[in-house]
Amino acid sequence: MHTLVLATQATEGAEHASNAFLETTSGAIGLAWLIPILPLLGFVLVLVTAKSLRERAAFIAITMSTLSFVLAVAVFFQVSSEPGTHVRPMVDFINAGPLQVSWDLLIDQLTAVMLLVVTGVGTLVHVYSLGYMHGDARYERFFAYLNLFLFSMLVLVLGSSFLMLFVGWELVGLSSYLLIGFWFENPEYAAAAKKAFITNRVGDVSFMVAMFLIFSTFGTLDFFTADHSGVLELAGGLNSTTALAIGLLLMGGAAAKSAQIPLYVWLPDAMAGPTPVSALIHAATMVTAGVYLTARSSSILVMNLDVLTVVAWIGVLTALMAALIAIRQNDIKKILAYSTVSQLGYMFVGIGTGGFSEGVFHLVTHAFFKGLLFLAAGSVMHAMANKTDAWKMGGLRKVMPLTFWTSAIAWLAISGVPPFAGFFSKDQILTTAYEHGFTAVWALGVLTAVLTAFYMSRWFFLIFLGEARYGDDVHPHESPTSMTAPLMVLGVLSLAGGAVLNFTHHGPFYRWLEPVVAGTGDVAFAAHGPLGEPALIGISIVAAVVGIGLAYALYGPHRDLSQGAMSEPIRGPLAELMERKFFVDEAYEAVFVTFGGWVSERLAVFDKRVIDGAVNGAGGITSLGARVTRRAQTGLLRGYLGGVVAGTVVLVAVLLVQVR
Amino acid sequence: MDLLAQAASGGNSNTAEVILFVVFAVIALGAGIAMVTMRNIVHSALMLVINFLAIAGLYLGLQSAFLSIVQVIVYAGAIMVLFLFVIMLLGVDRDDLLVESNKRHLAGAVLGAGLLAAALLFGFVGTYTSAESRCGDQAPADVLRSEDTQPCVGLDEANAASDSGSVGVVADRLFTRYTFPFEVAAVLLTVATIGAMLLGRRHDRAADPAFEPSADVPDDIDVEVAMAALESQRRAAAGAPLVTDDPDVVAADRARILDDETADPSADPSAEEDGEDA
Amino acid sequence: MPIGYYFALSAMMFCIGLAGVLVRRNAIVLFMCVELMLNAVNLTLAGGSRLWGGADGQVFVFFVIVVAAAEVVVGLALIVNIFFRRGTLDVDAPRLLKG
Repeated sequence: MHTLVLATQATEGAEHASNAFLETTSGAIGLAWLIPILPLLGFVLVLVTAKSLRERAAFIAITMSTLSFVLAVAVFFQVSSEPGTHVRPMVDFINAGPLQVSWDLLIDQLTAVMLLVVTGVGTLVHVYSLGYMHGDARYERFFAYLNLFLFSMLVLVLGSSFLMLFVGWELVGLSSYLLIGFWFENPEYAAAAKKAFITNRVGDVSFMVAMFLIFSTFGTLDFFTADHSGVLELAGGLNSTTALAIGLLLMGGAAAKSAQIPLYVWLPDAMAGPTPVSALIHAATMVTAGVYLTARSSSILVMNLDVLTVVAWIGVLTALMAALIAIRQNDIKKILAYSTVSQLGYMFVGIGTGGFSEGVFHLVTHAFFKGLLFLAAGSVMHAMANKTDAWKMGGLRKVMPLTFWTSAIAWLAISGVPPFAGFFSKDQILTTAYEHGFTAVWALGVLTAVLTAFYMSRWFFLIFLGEARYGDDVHPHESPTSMTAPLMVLGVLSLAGGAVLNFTHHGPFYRWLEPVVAGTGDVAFAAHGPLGEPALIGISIVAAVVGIGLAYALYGPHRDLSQGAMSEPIRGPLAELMERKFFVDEAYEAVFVTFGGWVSERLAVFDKRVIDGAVNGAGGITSLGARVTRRAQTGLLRGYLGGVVAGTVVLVAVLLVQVR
Repeated sequence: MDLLAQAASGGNSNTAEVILFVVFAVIALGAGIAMVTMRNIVHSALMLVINFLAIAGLYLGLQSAFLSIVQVIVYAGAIMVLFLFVIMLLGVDRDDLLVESNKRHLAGAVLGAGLLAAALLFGFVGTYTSAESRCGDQAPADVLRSEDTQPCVGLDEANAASDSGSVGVVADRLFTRYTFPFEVAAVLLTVATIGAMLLGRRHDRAADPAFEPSADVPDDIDVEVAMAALESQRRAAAGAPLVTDDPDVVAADRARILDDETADPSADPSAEEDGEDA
Repeated sequence: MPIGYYFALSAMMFCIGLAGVLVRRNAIVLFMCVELMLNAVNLTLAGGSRLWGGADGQVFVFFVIVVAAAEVVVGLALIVNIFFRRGTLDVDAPRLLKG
């Protein structure tokens, strides 16, 4: 019912640089449907040929993802030469009255970026897995799943409507489940897969309700349409209550997928999956789907400042809490997992403070350096016979030089040291937060930056510097080329990606995304403090240096850490709290598992008595009827024939009566 | 008698037809009844041959000479010879099974067949027994044509028009309108021949254990007992109940199964019937 | 000669065959009874052919004879097979369908 009003208002708020709607079937975009289809084909082919090709089947998967990447690059260049909202028309998906959903692909600047990140990092991880997964019993299946994931993620970013995005959203959830539980023989891993899946369901419900609300408000689920009546084109006319509801519900979905408070608990457990999976799905791509969703829906979010504020606060609190937990973790993958949660929090700070392109920028650089960190961690685990306790490492600098140098780049990048990639994106998010009046958020962000630099330095120092603390049973060695090559590619990207893409705040990347994300000119942000941009940059650098310095003082090579976890210098109740992850898992266990289980058990009585009673009753009645009627089945030929004769007699009789 | 009276009132050709009909009809019915009631299968088969020959005669009366010949050659000749071959081959000419001894079944069968016959005779045949339906002579001019009687057209004209009589008439239809069914019939015969060859092949069954089972599988399997036994086997193998953990349910289930196993043979009503049959 | 008498004869023959099928237990006799029923129907068709003065009825009879021949060939082969396997032609013996 709002539709007409919205249509007229939509044209007004368009002083912001915006895209033209183009239906494109030519060039690379015309072939864009191949980008998701190729990995899907790879998934099927690998499964089909796994028996006959054995380990060689992996090359099918790599070929497919590489082809997807090449196509994505071509698409990127076409978008850059013909800027606009390209829609590649495909067949209908749902055609039910007012609900019209098609498989159309939406390709604009944001999609192009996501395509490059997903297929690029995806291909690198494929190559990396060649070496990392070597010798695994289900080697081929792993590659099949990786391809399935790529397909799902590409459906997610290419979807031209909320529903298509949701289809991809669910598919990545499935792939994530399959890959976390890849070693399902271990019950803990299987449980972690289930935890991830179920936690994501909570967010999915929120997302679905958001979609229902969107459909009832706008009458469509398409992002953009040829007649400018797409959701994102009409969002300018939303009243603030509806915008609040839709925005918060969307954020609810994003919080589950992108591991934000209160639904972040699944991500640390998801490290049960093979390390390449952690790098690809749980660091670089899938977990950023929530950021993509919120950036895509930015024109809805800007309609209500409260939504933005909530998003920003969720983001910064998640970032802070995860960083605090990461400080006292000992598992090298767990540290990275909490670090991912924390960095995702930064992205949401970017989104929530109106810095949509900054959030996406951090998404990209984070994909580089966090993908690199995970792959490096995998390389270390490969060398250390799959041990993950950071206290049992140390001194790996000499035996694994390539891993050491690439990790060093990633460490400096995530710590926010210029000129590495992470510095630019993180600093630009904090600057945006400050300039848009979120001073408290900014302050907590800076604090988190200190903590980030601290725990990442701890991670780095414990693994690579100092004396070797591993036993004689472990013989570390540098990983094969298939693993180090992706490390080096990501190393270069982490080193230079930030400066090249967006050296200044309103650099090329910002301008690239400007037509896609909503302008914040109409948002009534609070006035910001007195600090200028140079001062903010200075504070960011100082934060990084302080964090690294503190870590060096506590965990540097001059310290005696030979006592393992016993030599942990930070002690006290707060440290204990951090080590136990603030008892969030225990609280969830108490509320949802114990209490929820108690309630469910009470409710189960209804199921047992009434539902089962009805089902069993139906069975009983049928059984009783059968007991009576089975006597008709004599097994005698003449019995059946007699029935036929009797029927014929009756038929003839009826016919006689009717004719007469 | 009614027939004879009608025959007397009609022309010569009609009289001959009536006599032909009555004679062959009596033979056909008699042979049919004899076939069904004979104890010796070979006798039954011979009675059937007689019946077929009588029907061939009736076809003559119906001006279908071609059918008459086909009936004699194919039915009385080929098919019945095949029957006799099989009877001899199997050596079952002394039939010990004989006629059904269950009186209830016998009565039911006769009643059903009788009812159907009655319904057919009184229901449909009547329409065609009026004077108008009389074939082979001129219908009396004074007989009123009503809607529920059917005048007879007869095949005289058609047969006369054809060079070769009845054969020509049938051939005309068979190779024009019914060409395709004719071809299909040819295929059907071929398929039947091949099928019969395949079925009639003597397998070396001893060498092929997979072919053996029918020999030792009892004809009278009590399905319920077998299923219950199978289920309890599966439960025992699993070591735990399959569906539920509730010990009460399991105990009740087990008790029921055991109960069924012990109670079933005597409780099965059809088992008594079997006794009756034998 | 009203055609109805042929029909009446045919109906009676059909029911005799039917009674035979219902009553007898020997598979071969059963089969012969079925042949009797087929012939009864053939007679009706031939009668109809004469009644309406068309050859179609006769053509039908011709086809019925063809099908019957095919059926007898296969049927007897089956009977032979069953006899070799079970050693009996009693149609009441196999009661696998008994409920």
